[in-house]
Order: sequence, then C-alpha cells, then structure tokens
Amino acid sequence: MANILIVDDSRTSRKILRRILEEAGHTVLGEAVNGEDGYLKYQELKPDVVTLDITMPKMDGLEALRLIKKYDADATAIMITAAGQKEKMILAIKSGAADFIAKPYEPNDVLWVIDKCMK
Amino acid sequence: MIASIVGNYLKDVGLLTEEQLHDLLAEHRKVRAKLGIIAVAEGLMTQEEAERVNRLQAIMDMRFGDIAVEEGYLTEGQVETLLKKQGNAYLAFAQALENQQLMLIEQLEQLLIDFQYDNNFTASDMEILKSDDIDQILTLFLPLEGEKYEKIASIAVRTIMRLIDLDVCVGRGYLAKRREIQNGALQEVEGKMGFTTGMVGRGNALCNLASTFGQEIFNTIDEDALDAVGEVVNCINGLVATGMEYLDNTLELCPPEYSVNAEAVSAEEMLILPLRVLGKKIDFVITIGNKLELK
Repeated sequence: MANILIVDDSRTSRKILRRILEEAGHTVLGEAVNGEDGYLKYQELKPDVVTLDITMPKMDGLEALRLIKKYDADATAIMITAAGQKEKMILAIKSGAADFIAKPYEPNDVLWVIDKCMK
Repeated sequence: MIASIVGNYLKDVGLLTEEQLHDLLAEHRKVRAKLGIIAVAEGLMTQEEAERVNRLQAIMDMRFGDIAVEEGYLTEGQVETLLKKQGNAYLAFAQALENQQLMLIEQLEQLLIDFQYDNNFTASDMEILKSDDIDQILTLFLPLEGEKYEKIASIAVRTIMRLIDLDVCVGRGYLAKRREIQNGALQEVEGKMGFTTGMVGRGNALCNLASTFGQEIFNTIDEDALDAVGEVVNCINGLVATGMEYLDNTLELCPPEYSVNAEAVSAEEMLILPLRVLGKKIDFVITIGNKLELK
C-alpha cells in the first residue's frame, strides 16, 4: 500500500480520487490545489506517490513535476488529466512522470497504475 | 435515447407521471419486445389481431409467430424479420408501457403522430428516431446550419450517458448569441481549432448532475457543485480533443470556469442544446472559434 499526495485544482476530482485510493487501502497523506502547493506539500509529506493534474491555475502539473523531480529524482509522479492532452502526456513522461491516467477513468484504472508504479 | 424522448413527450402531454416514466425507463432496459407488439408497430397486424393470437397462444401451447403464420396474419419471412427487432429500444419501451398496463402499442403509435407533427418530423425522421442511433438522432435535433457542432454534441451526449444518465433526453438545438441562465460551468479549449463548451442552468437544475458525478448530495448550486459540473465538461472536452488530435495537435484544455450567479451565457454564435438530465432541464452550449462568456 502506498502513501499518496493528490494534487488537483478540482475539489470533486480530489474527493473522487481520495475515495478510490482509501477504499483500496492506500493512505492519502494530503491534498494540494495547484502545482506550487503540491511542490511544497511534496517536500513536507514525502509521499511514495504523487498524483498530478496537468491543467491547473497558478502552476500547472508539468511545472510541478519538474520541480518535484529536481527535488527528488526518485519521485513517483502519476499524471492525471482529461483525455486529449497527448502532447502534454508525452512531455510529462519525458520529464520523468512514471505513468499517466486519462479522465474519465474507472477506479481499477487508477489502482492498476498505482500498483504498477509501486512495483 | 428514443425511450427517454418518447417517455418525456408522454410526460409533457400529461399521460405519464414522473414516477411512471422513471419506472418505464428502468424496465425497458430489462425487457425484450414481444412479437405481437412489433407486428402492430410495423403495421403488419392490428391490435385486435395481436390480442386474438395472444388468446390462442394461452390455450394452444404454440409460439406467437407460429400461430400468426397459421392464422394467415404473417408469413414465416415476416416472423423472422420481426424477431430481429426484439432488442429495439423503442419497441422495448412500448413493451414496458404495455407491461405496466399504461398504454397499448396502437395508442402509442397514434400519439407519435402528434409528436411527429409537433416536432415537424418526416416519416423517415421517425424511422431514424426509432432506430435509436444517437448520432443520427442528434442530426434531427440540431439546426441545419449547426452541422459543425455535431461531433462535439455527439461526444457530449454519449459522455453524459456514460457518466451521468443513460436516459438523457435531447431537445431542439438552436443557434443564439445570448441565453439567460443563472449558473453554470464552462471550459475553453485553446488551439487552431479551439472551442468552448459548457453546461448551464437555472436555479438548482444542475444539482442532480453535480450530485451524481461528484458522488455527494448537492441540494443547491454552489461552487462545489459547479466544480463537479466543470469536471464533467472537462471529461467531455478531453474526449472531443482526443477525437480532433489528427486534425489539430495544438489543443490545450484550460481550467474550467464557473459562475454561481450569472445572468446569461453569450457568444458571437453558440449552439444551445437543451438536455433533460436526471429529470432536470439544462443546456449544453458549444461555441467554435468564438469567446463564450458566462456573466
């Protein structure tokens, strides 16, 4: 089971994701509402996995990913965003994201990716 | 979708209650139309003839089709053709109406003549409706000059069916510059072929949609409820952008915006597609290449 930080500007998305993760036995250490907040909370909470929404105001998920990977090269970051962002997904993988999940997703999609990244 | 369109029509003209409609929509998914209903719907038998065969069936231990052939109402070829239509959504809805003893197929067909007239549909339009092909049905509900919005509207309706309400009902779409509403959520997708879509409503019309997607009860529209609506719009736009990737790989989704207290949604030109989602009337709005504002 993993300790996870959720970074997403949408309260709905954070809540749905938290429920999926907690029902599967993972621990959600915290939530952040934008990239900057996510970067700060990553340093503070040191999670096993950070999920990053790409489209966020203030600082997007890609920029947060770069900062987190700079801080911790071994960070396991999973990008979660709406479908149709292929170029950004590729950029995220090139920047060190472990994997990505496209919305709308099923709970099993999320859990499968988390388990895969934890192995 | 045809079941919800016909069902909502029957409700609007006072022939069904909200509760009856709800039960019928649930039941039509579980039943298959019987041969008698299909034969009457296809005009091959009258209601009386179908009922006579039903009575014979009760005492003869034979299948409806075999009796109908023996009695000279149908040929074997016709029976074979009719059997293939048992899974049709319209006919299943007609079967559910009959099972609930609310209406016979012949009465329903008569009422659909009024429906056809009210909506200015041709006979072939009615055939399209009864086929339950969503893309084809949507073309009937969009204005002639609204062709460019078809793809986005289709993805929106399918996504709403998948995530929110299998029985979403579409109304007549129209082009407008301004529509008075009270709240809603929009999302712009930037790029060469950029577009903006949104869901808007009056009062608490968007609450049911927000509650279902957000997995919590919203009794009034507030920022949290609209955040959930914005996420639905986000899912729709992402899927639209995926479908357009081969034409334009510059599309970028912006964060959804919402307004709890708006007066109107406006654009140089926008398509307004009225929807009935979970029993509530809302509008799905699309603009292509224009700025959509919610103020």
